[in-house]
Amino acid sequence: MGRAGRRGWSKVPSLLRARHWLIAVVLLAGWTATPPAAYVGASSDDRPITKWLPGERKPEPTSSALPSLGLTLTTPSVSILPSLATTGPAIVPPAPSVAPTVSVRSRLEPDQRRFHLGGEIALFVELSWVGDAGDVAPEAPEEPTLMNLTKKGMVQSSRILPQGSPQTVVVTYHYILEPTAEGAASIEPIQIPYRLRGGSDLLRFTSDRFALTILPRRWPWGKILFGAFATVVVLGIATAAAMATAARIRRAREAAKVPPPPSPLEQMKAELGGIRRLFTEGAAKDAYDSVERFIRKALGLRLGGDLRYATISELGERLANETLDSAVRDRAASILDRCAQVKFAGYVPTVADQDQTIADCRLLLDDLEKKDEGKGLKDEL
Amino acid sequence: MNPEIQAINERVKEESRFVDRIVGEIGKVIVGQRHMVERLLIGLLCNGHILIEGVPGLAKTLSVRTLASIIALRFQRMQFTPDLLPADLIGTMIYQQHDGKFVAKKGPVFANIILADEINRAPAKVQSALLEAMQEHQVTIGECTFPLPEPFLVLATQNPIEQEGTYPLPEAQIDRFMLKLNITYPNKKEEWAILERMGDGHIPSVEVVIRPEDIVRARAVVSQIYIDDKIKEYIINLVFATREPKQFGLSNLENFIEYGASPRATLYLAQAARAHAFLRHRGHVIPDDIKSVGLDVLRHRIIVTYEAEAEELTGEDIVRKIFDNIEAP
Repeated sequence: MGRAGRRGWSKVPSLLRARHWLIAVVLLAGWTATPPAAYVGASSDDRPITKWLPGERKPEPTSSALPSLGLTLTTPSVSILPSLATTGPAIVPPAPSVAPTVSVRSRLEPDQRRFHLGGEIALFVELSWVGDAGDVAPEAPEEPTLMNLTKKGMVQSSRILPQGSPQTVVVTYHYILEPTAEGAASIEPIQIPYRLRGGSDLLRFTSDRFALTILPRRWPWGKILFGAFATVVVLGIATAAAMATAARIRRAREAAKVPPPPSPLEQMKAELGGIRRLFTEGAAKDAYDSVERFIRKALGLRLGGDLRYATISELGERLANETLDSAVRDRAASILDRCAQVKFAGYVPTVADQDQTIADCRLLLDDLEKKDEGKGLKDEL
Repeated sequence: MNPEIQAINERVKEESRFVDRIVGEIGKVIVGQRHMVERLLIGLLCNGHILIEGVPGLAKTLSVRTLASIIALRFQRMQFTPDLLPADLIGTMIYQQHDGKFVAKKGPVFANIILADEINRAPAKVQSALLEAMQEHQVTIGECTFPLPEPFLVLATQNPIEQEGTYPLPEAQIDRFMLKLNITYPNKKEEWAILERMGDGHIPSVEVVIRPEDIVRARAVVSQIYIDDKIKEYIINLVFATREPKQFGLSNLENFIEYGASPRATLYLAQAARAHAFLRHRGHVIPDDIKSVGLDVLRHRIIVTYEAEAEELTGEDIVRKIFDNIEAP
């Protein structure tokens, strides 16, 4: 601010400034500290109660209960400045002596006068007034007089617009009506009794009269079409599912008819034909080499594991340790020994030897197959 | 059957009868160690020398001495020490004062069976002298060359525990040994039998079963035992797998093998398989014979890389993997 500014401010008389502030504070404190009161009466149980005349306003927090909705709106009053009120009579603002103006409005929804049989008609009767909700106490409206209409239900609601002052209270009666016959229809004025706050007289509101025309029933083509479409879609899905299930069942039946692929041991029987050809061509050593590989493979399928790297003696030891039928074990050992004789000992097999070898291989496969089936049966048991 | 092979079979059955008697006679003294006894016989029958690795007290010396007694062979045991000289092994020229001449004094190597105990304790000069005698079957002392007696078998031992102050045999010298055996402890049952048999300190005596000339005759029969081409192919595949494992689907071994087995391994494998077939009274070799002797023939012929040593892979492990991945005929 600087020395010049401070010197300029110091020219205002300090006493004047202080007096103005004091007056303002006193006025504000008097206004906020003391609530205006009407009269204080007594209830039947001698508890002091406060009754308010129409138009008067309470400084304490207001609470307006809307009967139909059960809502409570609270508008607390906040005293900004601390109360500087002193003891003495309170300053009471003059109370208004004019009753609130209540207006009535009726309307239909939809806003028309021609309705179709089968439809619904909504009638709204609204009472509104400026003031508090307690200023007007409407009572239950009379049953409406209807022609060719029936009342399906009535909903009462209240609202206050807007919050704060001044406020408008609106009480709405929502009638749900349904035409019962074609032709002329009417809604006679509805009487809604009410009382003003503090008043004993029962006053009445009257709604408007409505003359309607009821037209023949109108089919909800939109709904019908949509329903038909939905039905078609659902039926279509169900049909597709049923057809897929039927196809699956048909395929399963056809698959059941198809014989299962041959087991590995059965496939190996076909390999014996190739070995026999080697015998026929005179390649005895190669044939017995194939026989030995054949037996290793068959034993490998039965005993598990790759037996290519085991010698004949090791195979024999493996066979001795497995729980095999002695006939199977002996037959396998006999074939392997014969293979060793031909392959390593220079033994030249005769035709009878070759035939016997093929036959023994076939018998061995049969024995191994039987053991597989027996093993499966044991598992089931 | 092929008549020649038939004849060989008959001859093998005839000549191999002493095998069971030898094994039985050794069994009177030695408990268990059947594997070592068979390998000693294989060495004798194939004219191959054996390197034995095992901790002290496993009856190595007793087994060899007993075998020598059974076959009426001269047995000589030599304890190799760092101060041993070649002359202590092969002999030297001795000056005879009465006639002023130098006479060759033969050393302990002039025996049928030599047990060179802890060969890795002797200096390289002594090792070379012994290995030369093993290879040449003769010894030169001064100007004279003396043949070694037949059969001639050297069993060299190595102590796997005490390696300090030793002279490890170079790989080239180890390769001259036909078989390398790893002797292990006996099991509990065998230990019990040892205690029962030897607990009083008395060693049972054995009888002579055969003469050295019977061994020489058996060697001739062993060399005639039939090996089929498929077996030969199996042998060559095994040896080649030690050199080029990738070709046999063993690429994971390629980084572990520095040098594979030499052609000497192929020859020894075939000879040892024949001898094994002879011990089984067969005149032909089958893959079981190869598998049985393969580990003893090949374990010391594979030089492993540092990578293998880092992963504690030995030549024996590599040989086992090769056998597990080469299809038997």
